[in-house]
Amino acid sequence: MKEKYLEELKKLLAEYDIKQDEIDDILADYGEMIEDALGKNMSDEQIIKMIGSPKQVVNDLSEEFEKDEEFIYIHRGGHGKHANKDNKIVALMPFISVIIFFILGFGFELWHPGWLVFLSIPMVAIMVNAFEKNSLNGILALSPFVAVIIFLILGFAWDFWHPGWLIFLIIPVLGILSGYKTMKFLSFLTSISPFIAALTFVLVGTYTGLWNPIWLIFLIIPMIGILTEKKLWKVLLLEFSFLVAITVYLLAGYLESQWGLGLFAFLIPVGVSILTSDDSFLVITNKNKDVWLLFLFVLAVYIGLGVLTGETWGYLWMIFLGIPVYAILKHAPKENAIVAIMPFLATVIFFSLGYFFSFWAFSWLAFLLIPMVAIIKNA
Amino acid sequence: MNAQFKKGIIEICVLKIMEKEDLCGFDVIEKLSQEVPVNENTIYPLLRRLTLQGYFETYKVPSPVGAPKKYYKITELGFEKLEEYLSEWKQFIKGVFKILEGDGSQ
Repeated sequence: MKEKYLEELKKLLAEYDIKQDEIDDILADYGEMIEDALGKNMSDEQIIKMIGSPKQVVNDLSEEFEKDEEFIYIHRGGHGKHANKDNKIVALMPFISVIIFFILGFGFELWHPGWLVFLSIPMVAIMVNAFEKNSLNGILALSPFVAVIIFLILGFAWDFWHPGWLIFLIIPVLGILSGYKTMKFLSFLTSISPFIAALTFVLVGTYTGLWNPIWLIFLIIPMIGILTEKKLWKVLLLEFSFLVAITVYLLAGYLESQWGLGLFAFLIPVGVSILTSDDSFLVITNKNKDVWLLFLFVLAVYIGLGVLTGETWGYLWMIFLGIPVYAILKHAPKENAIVAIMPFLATVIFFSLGYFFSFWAFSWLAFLLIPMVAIIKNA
Repeated sequence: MNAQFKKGIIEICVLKIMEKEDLCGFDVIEKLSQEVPVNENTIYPLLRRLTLQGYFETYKVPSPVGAPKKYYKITELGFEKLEEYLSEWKQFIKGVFKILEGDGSQ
């Protein structure tokens, strides 16, 4: 009964415009519910009454998700007249682009930057397909292209490659904004804070050279994150510990020129977090013992080499990325691990090329590895 | 009862029964249908939507007899939504009772 039911459900779901992983998830859920029902000795009829026939399931899912515009992902698509007209426009865009490109090139000697017109091919496809379903997702899907265009204009026209690449931050920021409706304000603020910090860090660092102590701006991430804690005394204590650490660090640096040693002050908020947390990841348990050991090792290497050489502060921070990578490799399903660790690898490639070879203008391309790997993996 | 109205109430009930314990899909359906006359097959789609909206998160627990079981756990956002729904519901019911008991005509 189970196989037949799932097969029919799969067939019906395939008629709808749903991602394959969604279909797999729905099928797994129904498979599990049937197993549970069989375990309770329910008859086929009782099971169907309980979970619905495949046809009912698809109708109910479709109805449920049409209620909220944000969550429409299950609808019939691709066969209507409207869709055909849209597809024609998408199919015609390469030819239109070539014609415009030649007009710009032969007519006005604008071969460059006339080639940018080719970006209209994916952009039109996105506008036609993504906006139809959800305007916010459409904007999100378009943002990489808009970012590329702005980046190239800034670069070619004003040689503003660096810090012009910061425009790419609009992609994740828009991604977070798209989830704003379902996020608490503080969670939203926490999510957006790394980008605000990165933007401030790079801009201030580039124009004033004050990379240190401007990196302290990254502390707004945990400091805002702490505000989601419900107990007021914990919030005050943790925020205070951060302020003490920052003050000690600045005093050690400016008064004694001991920037390296000053870093030890940040063990104060770390210690306070460990002592005050009850169920957070900061509490050392058997499960996360290895991650903690790795963290302490990496911290020791970072501070040790920093103090000894005085030259590694600016780039050795990348070894901290090894911690989430380790955690992902340990916990994520193996088939998805490579996709999950790509953002970290891309960050290392991007920063290394920029920092060591000043290839900021091109090193951002490393981030394209993230969607590329995801696409190859899922193809 | 109006279907949409009923669906809204079921949504509150789903959030409420998950307030204290994490449950798998089957348990949610069983628990809810024992107490409320509900079209059982509409519960899973509702549960799925609430999960995608961030009111629940899921995790899997290994099962000795078969594939791992998926459990639903209410999120902080879910708790907030439940509180919001309950306060609206109480306000609504208060008004309804006021009218039904005759105070509304005054």
